[in-house]
Amino acid sequence: MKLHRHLHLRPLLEAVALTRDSEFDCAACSRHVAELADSLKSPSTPLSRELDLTRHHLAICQQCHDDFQMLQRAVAGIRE
Amino acid sequence: MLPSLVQDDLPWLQSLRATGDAQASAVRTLRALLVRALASALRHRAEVDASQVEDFAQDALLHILRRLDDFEGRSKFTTWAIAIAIDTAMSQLRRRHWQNISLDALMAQGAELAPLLHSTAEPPDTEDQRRLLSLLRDSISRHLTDRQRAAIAGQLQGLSVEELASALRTTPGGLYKLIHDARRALKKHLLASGITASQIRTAFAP
Repeated sequence: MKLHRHLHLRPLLEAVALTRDSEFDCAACSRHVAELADSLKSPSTPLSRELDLTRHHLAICQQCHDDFQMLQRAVAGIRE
Repeated sequence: MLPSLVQDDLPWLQSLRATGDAQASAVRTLRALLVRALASALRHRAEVDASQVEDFAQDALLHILRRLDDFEGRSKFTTWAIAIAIDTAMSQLRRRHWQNISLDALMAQGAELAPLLHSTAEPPDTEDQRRLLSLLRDSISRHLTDRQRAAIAGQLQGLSVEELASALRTTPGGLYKLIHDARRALKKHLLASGITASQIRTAFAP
């Protein structure tokens, strides 16, 4: 495959800045995304530690972030 | 029939675990819901047609039925089921786009990670940007392992987690740890150099 000759700096800097000692990986995130999607419908409710870690993972991991946006779109779609 | 089941989570587990007509009806309803959900989620993807959505929904349905005991009631059943359907569909779609990058190519890219890092403000405009980029490149060169550099290079290339893990001959969990340890090392050394987390995040922000 042909690799890009330039790698964009900003996503790496964003991820480094947001890095915590303890984080959810993709598997842990996937176990909580449904709960987070439902919780974000009531934004005044404080997030549990698990949901905070899930949201943090979504800020770090582009792939999980994209899937989460699809989940939100799909959940909205079944109620249209 | 679909809207009422969407709003009420309680009958799902009972119905799907039932036998006979009650179960068959619940399965049909869940399948229809998954098709509708996936059609909404994937509508921006031109390469996915209606028959593929049906196939993804069928595959997801089988996953869901096998995993009913995993549902803990922390979300609506439908949200949980749709999350599994998204994962099923996206895993298959991502696999179709695998580029079969070799370990050697990835390691070579990792070896060049520091000089390949590029910003829209290249060359950096400000003293802060120049300093941060210099420190970052130095930290990458001095404090990361070859595999960490290769993993970050692959991630910045947009490779999927699964493809990148496969290329590096590890698991997705192993890949996450590899990159997490690399980020921690970079952050530690940047902070030790007097750069704040806020500066890391905003120095190259538009």
